[in-house]
Order: sequence, then structure tokens, then C-alpha cells
Amino acid sequence: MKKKDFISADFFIVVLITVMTILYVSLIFNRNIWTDEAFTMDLVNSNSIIGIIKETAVDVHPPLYYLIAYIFVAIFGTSFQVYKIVSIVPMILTMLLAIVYIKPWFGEKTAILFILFLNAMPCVMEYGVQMRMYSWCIYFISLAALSAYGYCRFKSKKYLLFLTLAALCACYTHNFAMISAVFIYIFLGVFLILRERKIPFKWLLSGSVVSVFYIPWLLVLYNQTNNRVGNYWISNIDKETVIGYFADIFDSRIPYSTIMFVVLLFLSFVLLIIRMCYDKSNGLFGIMLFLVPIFTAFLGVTVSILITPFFIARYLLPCMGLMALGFALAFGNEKKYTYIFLCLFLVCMIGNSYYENYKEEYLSTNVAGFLEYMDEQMDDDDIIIYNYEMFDFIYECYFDAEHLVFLEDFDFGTEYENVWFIDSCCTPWLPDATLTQYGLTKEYVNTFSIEHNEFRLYRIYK
Amino acid sequence: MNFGCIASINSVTERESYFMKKMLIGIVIFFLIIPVDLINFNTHEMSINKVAYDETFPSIAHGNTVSQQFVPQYNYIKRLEIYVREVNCDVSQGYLKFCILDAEKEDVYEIKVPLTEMPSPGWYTIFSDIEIIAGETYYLTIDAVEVLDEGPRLAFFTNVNTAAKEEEGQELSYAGFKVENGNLKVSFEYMKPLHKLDYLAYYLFAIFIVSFLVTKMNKIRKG
Repeated sequence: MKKKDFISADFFIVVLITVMTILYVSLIFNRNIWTDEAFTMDLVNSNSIIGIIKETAVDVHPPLYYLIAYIFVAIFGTSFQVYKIVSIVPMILTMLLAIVYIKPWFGEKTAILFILFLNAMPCVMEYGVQMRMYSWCIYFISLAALSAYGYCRFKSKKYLLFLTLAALCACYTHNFAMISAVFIYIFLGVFLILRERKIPFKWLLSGSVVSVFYIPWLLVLYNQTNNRVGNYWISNIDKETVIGYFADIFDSRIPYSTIMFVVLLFLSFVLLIIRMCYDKSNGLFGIMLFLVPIFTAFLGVTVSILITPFFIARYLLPCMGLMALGFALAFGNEKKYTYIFLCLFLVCMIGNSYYENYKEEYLSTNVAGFLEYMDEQMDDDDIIIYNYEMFDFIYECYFDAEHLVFLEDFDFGTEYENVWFIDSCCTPWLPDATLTQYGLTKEYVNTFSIEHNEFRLYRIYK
Repeated sequence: MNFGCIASINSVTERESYFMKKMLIGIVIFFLIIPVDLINFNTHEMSINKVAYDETFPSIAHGNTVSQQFVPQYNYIKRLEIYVREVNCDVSQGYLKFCILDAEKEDVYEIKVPLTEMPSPGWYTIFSDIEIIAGETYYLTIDAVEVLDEGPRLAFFTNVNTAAKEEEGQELSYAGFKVENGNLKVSFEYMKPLHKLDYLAYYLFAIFIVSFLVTKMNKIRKG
């Protein structure tokens, strides 16, 4: 290929990554969060590094993501946007893999398709801006798989080192990312054993290093799992649940998007199997990329059926980079027009995904209106009372804990200027008799919502 | 950028490329002239009251008809539901009669449901898959007929802020009297046509698939 082509391809990929980054960043200028994100903020804001490790040990997810968020917050402050940027950074890093590894190894067409597929899968953009660990998992698992390929192809220790680090980070970020990392090691090991006809020592060493460094958390995981057998929030898994995983990953506001992606998945498989007969490494690698999420899901479902439900479709998110690369490898060699139409379709799906997420981030609740009103109206001595106890840690993301009191714990006889009552229309109710007893007036302000929980806001004063 | 164009074009590949171009232009034109109605994909949209403590009508029996005026947003209602707060009545006899009347109070849809089918409490689907005219005024009327006592308790609100979009500025009446700021607790689920721009995804996908298959078939044909 001519030098000019290289420059233009690189430039095009950089432009694509820049545009995608702008799209992600444009989704973070809000204070909209859901329960799990509130958990992240609560954990990071109110703990030291040791505290985070201790707290995560009694929760379900490993601590690395929270520690990364802790470092970001320590440097840049505790705003909502900083937390959301923590999740965008790994999305950018994952896209940069297209320049660093994918383009040199598989060509620019594959690199472009990787970026497009990664962002066109409807579930990815949603979690790319959420204050959760999934985008970091996507990065670590993608890096691990590419490093495994790099080691197979170039036999360089550098890639084995990257694989070791990426797998270890994945293990400490999410339990199912750990399982995906294990399958990457297993597939790599099987491939090397078949190719070299002996147990590959370096592979064994790398796996052992990851295992040894993971042992401390393995004990924690064992306790966490034992404590949750029979009492975890995930519901039982049946045939419909498993079929529903496809919809969870590929469904969007455009009807039948799941079917379209499943058709692409089927065609990819066929193409990669055919390619395996001609170009063993690429075709086989592509199939392995799809097998990692399939085996991860299979193990998750098996554990859920045999022990207790532990698996949901969201836990496949760490493998989305692999899926994108699998698609890209399969269709990266298509002829000009076929390739262009696929790219245009994916651009269309990215637009659709962005529109959906924009609505979700900015228009699905009126948190902004509520916070704006409270900023204007609330005085320093005011108290906010609420009757939806489960949401206390979510309210704490927006207001100082000292201003927040659960309805049943509040003494209406104390001194205050105003009481703002967030009434989620659930028990406990605020009896009119209490208001009469203290000579209080209750004035309806408006109906607002936080995290899809609508509530009526009242001002209570003497 | 090189999108896989062949560096040295011989006459055979040139002919194929020409054929591919013509075929793809044909496909694009075909998809562009297909009326969207022919592939008419629909999407769902829900409309429901805002949150509040609800109240119940004392009785919807003995001619105490509930009538909620509403203006639908779209032409096809997939599901229209009302909220039954409780069924603490004798359900051995009687039924609930639900009617949708047009602006001239002519019957458009009517259904009778035995009391035994009512949830207590819960949402109950009174009409499904019905066609209606968006923007026109309709009335949803509810009566308990041939019941032995006061009948089930249906939920409503007395707050103008809680109205579903269809109920905004419309009237709720009970036993012939207007309920001030009242709105019935209802849920509208519509099937609405997909926006024309959204069809672009289907067109591009279809063109890609055709182009992909033609390319592969050509490859197989050439061995």
C-alpha cells in the first residue's frame, strides 16, 4: 500500500475515534444517575483506598474500578462529570487499540469496522458513560485477547506481559471479566499446545502469575459467593432468559435490530469458519473471539442453574470488544461496496444508539429541573425529608447528608426554616394530623423524578 | 483510502465492477421508491398518569357512570388499561361495561367484563389493538352493571398535574357531575409508525446483505 494510503487511513481512524469521543463526552453533562451509579459515588466519596477494598469485599464486584475512580476523583474532584469521564477513558483506550494493534495486524478496513461495531452495539454506548466498571472490563479483555494473538503471532514476551497485566486487571474489575480472561488463557493454551506439541512454559508462567496475584481476591470471591447462594437479587434463569440475552445486547429503539445483529453474527461465524480453512490464524482467532463470550455465558448460566442465579446479560459486556473485533475480522475483507454499505449501516446504528442514550441521559427524568429548583429555593437551614428509604444513598449524591432525614426519623418539633418533603407516594405516609399538631402548612411544589422514581415535592413550613 | 479496490483492473473484473455498480444503484432506487407503508414497522409508546396518591370512586354501580374525556396521541392503541384499587364486592354476579364513545357520544368500542376477571389491586387491560383517530376527542365510560352491591373501586386523581397527556385539559365526570381537577388512573400503550429516517437502517442493512450475497455467489460461481 502507498504511503499516502497509510496516512489517510490513520487520519480517518483518528477522526472516527475523535467523533466517537465527542459523542460520549456530550452524554455526560447531566446529573442523572441510577442506583448502581449512586453506589459507586457513595463508595468512592466516603471511603479511603483501604475502605474501598474492605467495602467491595462484602459487596459483589472486585475493587479495581472503584480504586481507579478514587484516583480520578482525588485529582479532579467529585463532580458527576469526573465519574462519567472515568468510564469514557477506557472506551477511548479500546478504540485506540484499532490504531496500535488492529490496523497493523489486520488492516485499516478491519480497524475501522472494529470501531464502528464496538459503538454500534446498542448496549455499549449506554455503559460507556455509566459510573460503572463495564467499559474498563471491555478495555482489559480486548487488550488481553489482542495480546494473546500478538504472542501467538510474534512470540514476543512483550505481548505475554500485556496479556498478564490485562488479565489480572480484568480479574480485579469484574468477576465475569475474570471468567472471560480465564477462557482467553484456555484458548491460547490449547492453540499453543496443538501448535508446539508441548506444554508452553511461558504461557504457564503467565497464567500462574495471574493466578497467584488473584488468590487473595479468590478467597473473598468464595465468601461472597457462599453468602449469596439462595439470596441474590438475580431471578431464576430459563430458556426465555437465555434467548433474551441477545435482545439485552443488541436490542434498540429500532425494531428487529436484534435480528439484524444476529444475522451479522451468523454470517461472521460462517465467514470465519471458511477463512479458517485458508488463513488459520485469523479465522481461528476470530472464532475464538466469539467463543469467549459464548463460553462465559454458558458457565454463567450453568452456575446459575446448578447453584444460584448469578448471571445476567450485562455481565457479557466485558466481551463486547471481542465481539466487535470478531465482526470486524469477518467482514474486514469485503469488497468495496459491500464494505461501504456495512459501514453506513453501522453509522446508522451508532446514530440510533446515540439518540437513544441522549434521551435516556437528558430527557428520561427531570432531575435537572428538580436540582435547579432546589438550588434556587433551598436555604442552609432547610431540611429534606423523604419516605422512600431505599433511595437515601441516591439523595446523598445530590444533597449533603446532614440535610437529609428519613420521614420516620424526623422530629417536626425541631427548629428549621423549611422542610422539603420528597413524597414517593409510598409508606410511610405523612399524616395530616402531624402537620396540624405542629401548626404546619404543606404546599405542593411539583412532580419530579430521580432514577425513574417519580415523587411529589412539598414545601412544609410554619 | 484503499477499500479493497483491485490494483490492476482486467476486463473481466471491470465488467463485474460495472455490473455490481449497476445492480447496487438498482437496489438503492428500489428501496427508495418502496412506500414506507409496505414495510410498516411499528414501535411502542406508553402514556400514563404522573405519580400521586390515588382516590377511589365510592361506587360505579346503580348508574354512577364514570366518564373520562381523552384525546389519543396516535391512531392505534395497543393496550388501554385502568387501575382497579380493590374488588371488595360480591363478584358472583354482574359485569363492568367499558365503552369508548366519540365526540358525538356514539359508541365506537364496547366491552363487558365479568367482575371475577378484575385484579385487586392492579392494572386491567380493557381494550387492546383498537384503531382510533389521533387528536379527536373521545370518552371512556365505565359502569358496573347487574352487580349486587357497590362494585369494584377504580382509582382516579384529583390533581391536574397527574393527568396523562391524553387527559390534559379534559374532563372527568362521575354520576353526571364534573370531578374538579380529576383524571382517571389510566395507561395508554400505542403502536406508532417508525420515523421515516429510522428506515434508513433497514435499507442499508438490506443493501449490504444483497451485496454480500451477490459477491459471495459470484465467488462461488468462479470457483
